[in-house]
Amino acid sequence: MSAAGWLVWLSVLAAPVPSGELLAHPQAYDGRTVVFEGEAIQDVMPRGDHLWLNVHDGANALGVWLPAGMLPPDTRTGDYHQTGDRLRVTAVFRAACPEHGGEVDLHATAVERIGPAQPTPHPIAPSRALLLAFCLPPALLLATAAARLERRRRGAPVQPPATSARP
Amino acid sequence: MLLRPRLADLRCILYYVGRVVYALGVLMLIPAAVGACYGEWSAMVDFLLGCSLAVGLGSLTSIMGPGPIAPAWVHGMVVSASAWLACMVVGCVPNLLSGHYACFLDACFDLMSGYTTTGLILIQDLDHISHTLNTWRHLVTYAGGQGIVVIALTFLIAGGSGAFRMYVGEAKDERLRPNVVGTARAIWAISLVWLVVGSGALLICALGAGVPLSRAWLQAVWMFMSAWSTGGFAPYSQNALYWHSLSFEMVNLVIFVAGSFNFALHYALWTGRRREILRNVEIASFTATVLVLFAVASSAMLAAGMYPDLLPMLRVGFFQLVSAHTTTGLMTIYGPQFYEHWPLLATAAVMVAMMVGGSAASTAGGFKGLRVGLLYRALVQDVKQLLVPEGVRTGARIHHIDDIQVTDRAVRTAALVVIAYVALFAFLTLVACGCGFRFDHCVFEAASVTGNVGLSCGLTTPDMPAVMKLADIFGMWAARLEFAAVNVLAAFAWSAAFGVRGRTGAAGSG
Repeated sequence: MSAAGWLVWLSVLAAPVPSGELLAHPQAYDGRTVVFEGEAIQDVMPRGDHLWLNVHDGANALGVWLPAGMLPPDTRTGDYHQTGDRLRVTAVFRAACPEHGGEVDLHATAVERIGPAQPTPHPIAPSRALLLAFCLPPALLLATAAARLERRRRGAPVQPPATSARP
Repeated sequence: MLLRPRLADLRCILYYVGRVVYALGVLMLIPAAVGACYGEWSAMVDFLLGCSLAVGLGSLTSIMGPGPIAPAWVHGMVVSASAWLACMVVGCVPNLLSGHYACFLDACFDLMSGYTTTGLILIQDLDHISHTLNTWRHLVTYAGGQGIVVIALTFLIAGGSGAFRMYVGEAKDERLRPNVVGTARAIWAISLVWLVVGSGALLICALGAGVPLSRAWLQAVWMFMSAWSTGGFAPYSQNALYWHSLSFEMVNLVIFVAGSFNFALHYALWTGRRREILRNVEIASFTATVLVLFAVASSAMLAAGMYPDLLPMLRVGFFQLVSAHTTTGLMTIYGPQFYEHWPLLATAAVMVAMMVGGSAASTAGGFKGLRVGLLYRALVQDVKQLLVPEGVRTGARIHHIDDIQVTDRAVRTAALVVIAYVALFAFLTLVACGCGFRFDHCVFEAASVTGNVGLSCGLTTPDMPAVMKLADIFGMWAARLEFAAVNVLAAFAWSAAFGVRGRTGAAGSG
């Protein structure tokens, strides 16, 4: 194979594999080293000298098992307030990991940060605040009026059933 | 000949539906409070808006209503069926305002899925939603598992025969206490005690999994609500797999198995009748079907060499099978694995488990173990009757809290409900096939909807056609109410449109 051919082959090897592809053909990828890219989400879960990190590539989140020291320092994960760091994970894919009770996971051999976390602001929309200011007081008034009416009614005798089910 | 309902009937129904919607509005204050605690002000405003709408509407119907009135059977059934639809429409307002749903129909789908403790979802970007919205999603399954009408009965509706008719309309008929309000409160007392104990156990597991306390306690409460109600919602897209923790999964398994049991059985155990757990026909039926189906599934998995040894097969295979059988729907595998990784026989065992379901008058769905046990005993009795000398009559009984005679009427009622479930399953399969999906995927998803399970092979997504979403909403609703209330509502609507006018001036008229 020419040098150019080798370069093309290596670049294909280094291309990230989508989670959908891994889950659609788990046996084909089982035990193979793959590259997986995605956003680090929610909790980083330390387990002794290793940790679990869930990485979401836009389609699915996969669990990544890695030595604690392999995680880039100050890694920020995604939640309601921000999208997390984008990571490039080189890992061995397991369709039924013998070490982790048969679950699908990735055992990382390298982790690289390729994109920073971004804040996701959630300001209160002025229109909604205004709508709440208009809706809440009448709702409270109606609730108070209904509660008083119900208290008065509880003292009244119960009426017989109102039904059309008569011949 | 159906008589057209009068204004008094409609006012009576509107009054009680309004009470249930009011109760839903009060429930929305809980996620709003979570939003305030975590500084999620935008989400908090969304829930206060939803609360204002629900409380306002509920109060208006109460003011316009006829006052304390004892509803007849038709009213009770129509109230139960209508209240679920009204709560779906009103309850999805905060979901829709969150921006995580493509359209109103998707928000309605998730609400109905939560109330019916199904667990299928159409929410988008689940891993970035607020704690506020996540609290609401799980609270909805917890409330739906007990029964929305049961909530209203507990706090807002006076007792009496009318209350019992609404209670039965929600496919419950167990009387734990002499009056139905007492029964509703007993159901809540059982659930709240389990909430404290179950959440505590899950909190310990979450801390052990490495989740910090500030987040672990919320995750524990959410997952308890989902497991106890056999709902199947989870706060993150990986469902129960998120924590990668055997202990977390096993505690969840204990909770959802307990949640799938009949509330009357829980009450019997609480009040000292511990032998019930050995004598009850639903426990016997559940144990038998779990063992048989797990034997089938595990044989297939062993033959396929899927898992390296016994522990992974138990952890993944047994968990999924019991999650299906209790109609919980929590998943420790990814949806596509049911067809791309699992052998077909194992997936088929999961489908059968989904249809059989959990216990009657519990949070579970499916045919119910009581009906399976009853039909089995009836079959055995029929065979015995053929073998004994002519003129000799055999009888059969099953034990479900009390001894119940296997009568022709009981068998007919059970068989009709099972036939209705099968018909719904066939309908949903046809709708999905008509939309062009693979037949095996359609069958799996239809079984999940019919049994109010929530396991998915990947078919249920926001991109699926609207007609499938509508069919699934109908399926989840009808299956959860076990068809009776839905049939009465349909007949009531028909009579309103085409019925004959009755005599005027009768008692209770508007």
